Amino acid sequence: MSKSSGPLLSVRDLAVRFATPGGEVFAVRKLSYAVAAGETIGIVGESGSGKSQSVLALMGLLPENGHASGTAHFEGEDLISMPRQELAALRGAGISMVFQDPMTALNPYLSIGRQMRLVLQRHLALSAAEAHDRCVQALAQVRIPEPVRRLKSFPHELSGGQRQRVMLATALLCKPRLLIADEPTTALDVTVQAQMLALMRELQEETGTAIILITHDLGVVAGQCDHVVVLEAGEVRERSAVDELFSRPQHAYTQRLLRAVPRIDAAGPPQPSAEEPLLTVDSLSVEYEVLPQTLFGRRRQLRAVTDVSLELSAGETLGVVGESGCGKSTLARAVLRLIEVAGGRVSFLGSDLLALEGASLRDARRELQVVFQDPLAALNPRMSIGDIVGEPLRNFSPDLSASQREARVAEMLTAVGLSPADARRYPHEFSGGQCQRVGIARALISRPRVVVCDEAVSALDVSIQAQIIELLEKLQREMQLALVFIAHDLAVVRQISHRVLVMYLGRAVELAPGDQLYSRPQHPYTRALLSAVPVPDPASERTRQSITLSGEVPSPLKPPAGCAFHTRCAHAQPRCQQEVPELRRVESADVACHFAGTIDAENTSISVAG
Amino acid sequence: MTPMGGLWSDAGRALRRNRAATISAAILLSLILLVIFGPLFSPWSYDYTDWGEIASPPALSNGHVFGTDQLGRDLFVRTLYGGRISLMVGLAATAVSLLIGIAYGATAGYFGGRLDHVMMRIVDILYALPFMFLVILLMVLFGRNIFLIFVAIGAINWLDMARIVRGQAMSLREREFVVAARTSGTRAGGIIGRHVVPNLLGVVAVYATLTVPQVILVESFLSFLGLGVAEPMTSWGALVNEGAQNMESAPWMLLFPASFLAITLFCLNFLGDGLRDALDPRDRSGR
Amino acid sequence: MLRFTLSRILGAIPTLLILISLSFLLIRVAPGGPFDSEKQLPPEIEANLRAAYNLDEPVVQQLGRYLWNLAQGDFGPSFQYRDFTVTELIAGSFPVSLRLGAMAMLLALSLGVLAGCVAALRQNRLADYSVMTAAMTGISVPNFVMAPLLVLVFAVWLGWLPAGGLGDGSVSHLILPVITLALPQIAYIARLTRASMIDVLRSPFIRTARAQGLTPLTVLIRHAMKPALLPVVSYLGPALAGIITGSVVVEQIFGVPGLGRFFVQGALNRDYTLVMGVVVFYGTLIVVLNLMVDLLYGWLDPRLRR
Repeated sequence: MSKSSGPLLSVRDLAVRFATPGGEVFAVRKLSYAVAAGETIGIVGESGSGKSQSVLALMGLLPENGHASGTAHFEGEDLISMPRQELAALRGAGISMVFQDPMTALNPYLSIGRQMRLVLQRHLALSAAEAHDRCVQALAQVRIPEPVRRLKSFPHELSGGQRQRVMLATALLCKPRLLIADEPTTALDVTVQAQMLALMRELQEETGTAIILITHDLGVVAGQCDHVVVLEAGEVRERSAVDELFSRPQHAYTQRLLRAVPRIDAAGPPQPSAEEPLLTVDSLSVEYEVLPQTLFGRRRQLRAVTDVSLELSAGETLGVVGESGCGKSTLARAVLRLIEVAGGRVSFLGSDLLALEGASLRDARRELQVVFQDPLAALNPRMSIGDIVGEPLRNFSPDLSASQREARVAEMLTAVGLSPADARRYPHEFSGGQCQRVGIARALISRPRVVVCDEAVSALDVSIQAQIIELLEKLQREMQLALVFIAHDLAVVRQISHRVLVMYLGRAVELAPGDQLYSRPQHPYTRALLSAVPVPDPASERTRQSITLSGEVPSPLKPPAGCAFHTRCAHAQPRCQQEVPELRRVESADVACHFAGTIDAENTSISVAG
Repeated sequence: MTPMGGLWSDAGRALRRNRAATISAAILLSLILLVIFGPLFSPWSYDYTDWGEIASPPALSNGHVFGTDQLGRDLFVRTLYGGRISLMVGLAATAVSLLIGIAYGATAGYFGGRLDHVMMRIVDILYALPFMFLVILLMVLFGRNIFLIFVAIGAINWLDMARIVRGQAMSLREREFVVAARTSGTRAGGIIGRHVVPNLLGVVAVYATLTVPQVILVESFLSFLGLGVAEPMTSWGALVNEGAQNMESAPWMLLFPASFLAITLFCLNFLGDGLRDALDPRDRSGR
Repeated sequence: MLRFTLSRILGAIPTLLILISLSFLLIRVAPGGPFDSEKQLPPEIEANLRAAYNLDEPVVQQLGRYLWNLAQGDFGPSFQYRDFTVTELIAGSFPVSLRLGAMAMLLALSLGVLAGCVAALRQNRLADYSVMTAAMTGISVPNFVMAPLLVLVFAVWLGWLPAGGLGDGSVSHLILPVITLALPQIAYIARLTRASMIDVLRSPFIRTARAQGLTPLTVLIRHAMKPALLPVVSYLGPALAGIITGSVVVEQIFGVPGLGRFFVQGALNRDYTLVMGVVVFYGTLIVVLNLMVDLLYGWLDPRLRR
């Protein structure tokens, strides 16, 4: 077969099965697709769909109990039946791979340069000087500053985004014809994800490398891929061109999936009628003490939250968004009185929450509950579901008899969509979504007024995410709950929130009604954040003008002076480096930017304020 | 099914799959029964001298199945008595180290902060002391005393236990279900009792099982050097010492106590390993 | 790295002070004086003796004097070997123990790491099970059991090797003592290496290395070996302590004139100054070696460097 004609890789009837104590389990069945040079194909699916196993099978990297069958012709040679050593010679040279978490996927004990040189030594006969030049060139290609110096760095000395760039540079060292990227941006913040995706598109245009992109995120697929394969439980549900898939999904599963995806350009929930606030937070600050690593190290203060104020009324949802290290979870924990507060006031139902101790704090907690991110970790593995959900009742309503308590637990389990019979089972017997329902039942059984959801749906698959959000909205209507909904996913926050607070490095940068914030963002950071979110719509992804932020979030140990965002802001002026901007009203938003209202929404030019 | 039942039945199932651990447990059980009840069926006591049978090799005819020592004492009975002492010291000193270690480690781990910092610095310093030598010094200075052995050995081993318990308590304190219990209005006592301790017991059980053989080893070592229990009472270490001195003329004096000691340590280590695989998720093979 | 080194060195000082003071005070509170074992001495002679050994000073002053002398390498006179100072006794016998210990350590490291790697690469196969069963035996059979058994088999029954002493210092005299000392350490190191190697081989960066097409040998040696050996490095401290303790038994059984044998005889003869001198000497040795292991560890793990 000639190399020039036909696809680069053609997979036919690929099946992957695992030998387990319970018998053979198929992870993938009858998967067929083709990739041509310069093309990107997306393999999409939720957890357990077999999307990662399907590419590990091509690379001969399945675990020992895994077995692949079918054919996968790469440049005319079948990868599946190829002798191990031939396949190994192809890996890293003809076909390269980038993995999800660059922190663990790079060897923490070897310098970047050493890890790169090992790959060159294996595949190319280069002199030391040539190898060094090749590494420097590869790092420069992925826009790593000071590549020569960086070669001596260890992975922990780089930021998350830089680490993933190094992964990509290493994968591209030997100029592979095919790059397999397994959830390459899932571990990254959304603005860093946008940088990474843009870089991959640019490099593909330069080199003509074919890409297989594995992801759970339909928004990423829409912006990156030419063709898409949708997998569910190891079976192909749909295989089509990207426009086709999003405009006319054929299979019921794809349609369901697309409906479940939260969209940043969708409408938010209707505003509730204005009421007296239940919860008022006034200039709240939280500091952590960072203990010295060595005997002589200095003890340092880390300001996790600085001067954040907010209000929350019954029946209302306040979304809190921001990238990692912005202090959103710390804010939640401070409001819940789980950590000490450095300054500010929190008033809850008219009383000073920060002054409460002992029994009165317990009484307040009855009205103020929390749902956590990791559904399984939030449940004590040694307690039954009934005991877990009944625990708040045992504490808050000690006069209930055991049978009354059981009845309340059964009622609550039904309300969250579980069966009363589940009370006797244990957490490990449930799926992630079911565990989250248990967590919600525990939070709601004491009939609280305010519930804090700390990344409550982030660990769940899209379709489960949609169910849990629906459940929260239903319970909110029934119980007039006030919700604080913390998430890094702006689209999810959009879907459920009436008002949204955007945080950056511990400070509130913008607080606005959802519709206002998503349609007319005022703060440059909010704009960049919103434009970085991939939208599951290929047409709008192609035409969209995105604001790519340079760099990454600075360390909270050394926050920049003045406006914390000035190091990454395209509109920064000398004033921003000195003066911390106060929140002020622009349209219906509160914005912490010296130039808010004067920066044109579409344009990057500034009309200087008088 | 109660929560604890869940823990132990999980562990039990995993242990039963581990044949080496199951066999070890069976051997240990019969050994303990033999050591406790064996001497009741012997016509001799541990310090009785059979003048007609000085240093005689094992024989069924005279009833000395393991033979006798230089003083004509029945080796079978002495080996079992030695086993009583060794096992007793093992269990008692483990209990001592467990008590100190759990209290110390749980305090440091649960309260954390500066208290933890100071408490762990102390452990670090104690860790670096050559305890075996200090124990020998103690024995030299204050004479042989079985109580002193308990204390000395317990004092060495609690350090490991404290570190392990502290690590567990610290990670449990941060776990979301403990935080959830706090927001559910559970008081500190309830959190420790219902949430922290049940999740900590598995690991403690594993390390306790692995501590027993260590303790037996230390006691035997001291007895071997002539610093352990005093004659005519004996322990496996003391018997091995006597055996080593007479191994050319009476090898059985070495072989029987040595095999009892080695088999016991072997089984305890295997059981501890198996229990760890079954209970400690960090070391679980597979995923 | 400099800051790391300095803080570790300073951290070792309180440990040493506590060790020295503790053993010193233990001796002072011990029932009976060093001259009780002999016949009742006339009071004036005993007073002279006490003055000669500075026992008539306040305890704190004695401790200070002891520390001052120690700093100059003087461990004081031996109570038992009247003609020697403890320093002389240590200086005379330690080299013998050192040679034994160093050989055992070298043997333990090379064999232990090799066996551990083989077991890890052949996990749950015959080679793994054999190595691990042998290692379990090595851990479970104490050296004071192993030593006489080895003598019984190889010296008494087979007659291949000498039963004890250093003889002319030939290798044949060292084989049994060194093997006895090394066996438990080989077993521990093999188990440790196996466990950490299995852990490392499962980590994502090894999958990356394989995805880069590196050969299994390159993956093992260049990528996996360093992290897999870190637990072994941090075990070196306890291992050295174990070898030192072990040499007490081994020297006793094989009749090797090392420091361990002096220690046991000193202990049985209630030679306080000698016992204490050895405790302080070995304690210092262990603290210093632990310090070096710490520094080695910091050098191996780039995340600890600063």
